[in-house]
Amino acid sequence: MKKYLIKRLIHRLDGISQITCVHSGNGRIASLRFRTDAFDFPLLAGRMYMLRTAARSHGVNLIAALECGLDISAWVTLIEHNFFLADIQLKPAAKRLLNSLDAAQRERLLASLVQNDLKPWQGVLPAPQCTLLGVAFQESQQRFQHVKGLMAWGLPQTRAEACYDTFGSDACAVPLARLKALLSFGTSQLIQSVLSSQTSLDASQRAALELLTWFRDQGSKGRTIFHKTELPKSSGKALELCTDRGWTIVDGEYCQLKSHAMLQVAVRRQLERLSSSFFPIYTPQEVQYSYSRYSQVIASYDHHNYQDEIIVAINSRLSVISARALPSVCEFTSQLSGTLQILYAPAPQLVVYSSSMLPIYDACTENVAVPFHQLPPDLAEYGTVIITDCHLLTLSDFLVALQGVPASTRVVLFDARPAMAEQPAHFLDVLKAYYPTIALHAASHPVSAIPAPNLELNGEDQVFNVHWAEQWHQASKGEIFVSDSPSLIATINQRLGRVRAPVVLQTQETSFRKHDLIRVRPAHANKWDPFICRIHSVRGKGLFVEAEGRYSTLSPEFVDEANVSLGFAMSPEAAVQAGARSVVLIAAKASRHAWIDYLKAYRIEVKQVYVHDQPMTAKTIPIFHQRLTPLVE
Amino acid sequence: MQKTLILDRLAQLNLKNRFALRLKEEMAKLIEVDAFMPMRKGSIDLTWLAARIGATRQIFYARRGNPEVHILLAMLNEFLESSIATLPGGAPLNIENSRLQTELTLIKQENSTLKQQLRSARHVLNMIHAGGIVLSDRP
Repeated sequence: MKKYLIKRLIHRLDGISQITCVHSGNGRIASLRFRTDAFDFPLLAGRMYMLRTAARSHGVNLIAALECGLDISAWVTLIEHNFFLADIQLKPAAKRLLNSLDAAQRERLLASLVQNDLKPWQGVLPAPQCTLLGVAFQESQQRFQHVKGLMAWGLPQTRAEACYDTFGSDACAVPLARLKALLSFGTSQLIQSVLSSQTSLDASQRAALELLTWFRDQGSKGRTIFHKTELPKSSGKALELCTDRGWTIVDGEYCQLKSHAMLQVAVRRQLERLSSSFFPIYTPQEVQYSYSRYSQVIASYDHHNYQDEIIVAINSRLSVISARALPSVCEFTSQLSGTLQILYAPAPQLVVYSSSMLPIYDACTENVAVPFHQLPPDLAEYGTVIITDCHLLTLSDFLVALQGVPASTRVVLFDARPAMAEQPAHFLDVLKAYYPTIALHAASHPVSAIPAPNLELNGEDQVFNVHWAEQWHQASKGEIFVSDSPSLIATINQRLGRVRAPVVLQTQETSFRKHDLIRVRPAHANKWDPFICRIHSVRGKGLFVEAEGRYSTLSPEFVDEANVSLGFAMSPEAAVQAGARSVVLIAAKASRHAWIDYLKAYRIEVKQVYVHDQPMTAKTIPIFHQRLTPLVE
Repeated sequence: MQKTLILDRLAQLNLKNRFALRLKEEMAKLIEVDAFMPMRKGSIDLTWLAARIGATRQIFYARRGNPEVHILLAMLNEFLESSIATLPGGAPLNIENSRLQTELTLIKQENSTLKQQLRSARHVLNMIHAGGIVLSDRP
């Protein structure tokens, strides 16, 4: 074993870490790699370790490490990098002076730094910088100790560092610290292993861990609120503990995770905000007058009469419109826009799900449409915001969209679920029960009817089996399969996912291999357009991916706040969300035409249709949440 | 250089320039009592020294001041450098100074606490949007 000072450390996204270190004796620089989760203590830049290395096929690997204290053998490197403290910048003159000192003096300065007694430094550095150096050095020592403590509980180094940076110095001090660290930064695998071992956590905390992860899993399926009798058995004590700490909320007989409650209450507050201020209402005559003027201006022979619907939409702050087909959405939007402008109201702002949908709604308004997370901050007072495809929004997306809407605005939500072959449950159902709801009768013009799909000639009733998927995949690598059966999606993803290729991306739960197709969605508060891409390789800077012929690098921070899943096969909604261009559809025989029309409306080319005979599982899993609509209006 | 040595050498100097004379007196006084001398870039703070002898720091620069002053300044710097190299217990305790140091330390610590709270708040926000678990303690 030889003593090294670590100069730089990079945790790559594929679970490999790379360090650059300086040999303390001869000053030689070595680059070593190791698995990020290989050690149970942190390797941090600016610290010295005894390292054992071995040459392997990918370069020199680090196979064993022992931590040891700093000594003056690496003095020059330490000075050059300001002791590896981020907010300390030594002056060049001070560095020169420090480097000119002899061994005994260096020894003394280093010892005084470690002991946090900075008197000897006062002749070397200006007094304020001396103080700052001491504080920063002690902070870095403390960080090391805490990260080490967290790693002893089983967290990998990256997660332990994130945990310390988030919770601060009480990350491993308070009595429930281990529970908090596991719940916030532990993988489900780690939580399982802690739950299965009897000794590591005391019984009450283990029950709380079990209950909270159960809540979270149910929440991902859409169930966020529970009657006390629905909870798993013998979780009464755990619920009490969690409620005492404020992690869950209990009201009467119902209980809920705090995070779910906060999101739902936030949406309700936003809706209350929208309904609290003055809102102008027009008489039916006024709207009729401007509508008839609009009709005369446009004078389109096939335009559909939406006058009654427009009166409702104009006179309600928030209305939900369910549309059977996208052309009628466009027609309605342009009529609404025209009528409003004749009433001297500002032109409505059209809001779409993602930028890939902008061309679909291009013709609807003269204003430029924007994705829901990019609402301009200067929306007009008493304006109108029309959000299309609300059925694609999650509750968190909806909150982000509402936050950008001024209080005096009229909001029109479009629900395109009637166009789908089956209608999944959605929070829009709750809004529909409270706000005025308009069902748009389809604008069934004979001229705009879509010609019968010619796919049926070559693909009629071909029953799908997984070999078709493999053949398609071999013929054209980027083909995406879309199915209404979750089990088929899982099967295709499992079959087409690489097995032997090297792992390129390791997320908390799964790993993805070279050339896998992945679907990337925003997971956190910061929203962007979801997309599908193929992963090529990983570097220190991030993940090198290709999406539709364009190459880019996804930074580790970006991947950290993304939800990544295999993207060979997905549901029709997911394909629309991610802006797929062309897909192969595998649908139940009865619903395949509806799905073809649905995908075509979003300008997704359906290259081939197969039918499957998978039993359809319970289609609409109901979702449970708090009241979202305003309590008082 | 030893304290006595430099004091001896100062006494032996035969100076004529008025600034040099004043500087010699001042230096003798400062070195005698081991007074704290502020440093800039590894040598004596010229502004501070000039103010103590009632001059501007121009007199310390080559081709501007008297050579006698330069000799004294070089001696003083040599003395200070050697005293740093031997690293005595640092400057004598200065109450004002240590008060400021404590304040700086506290502010620095508050700064890191606030940064950490900001990260923590961002984490809570992300957990709310991701349907995770919010573990903020009751206020």
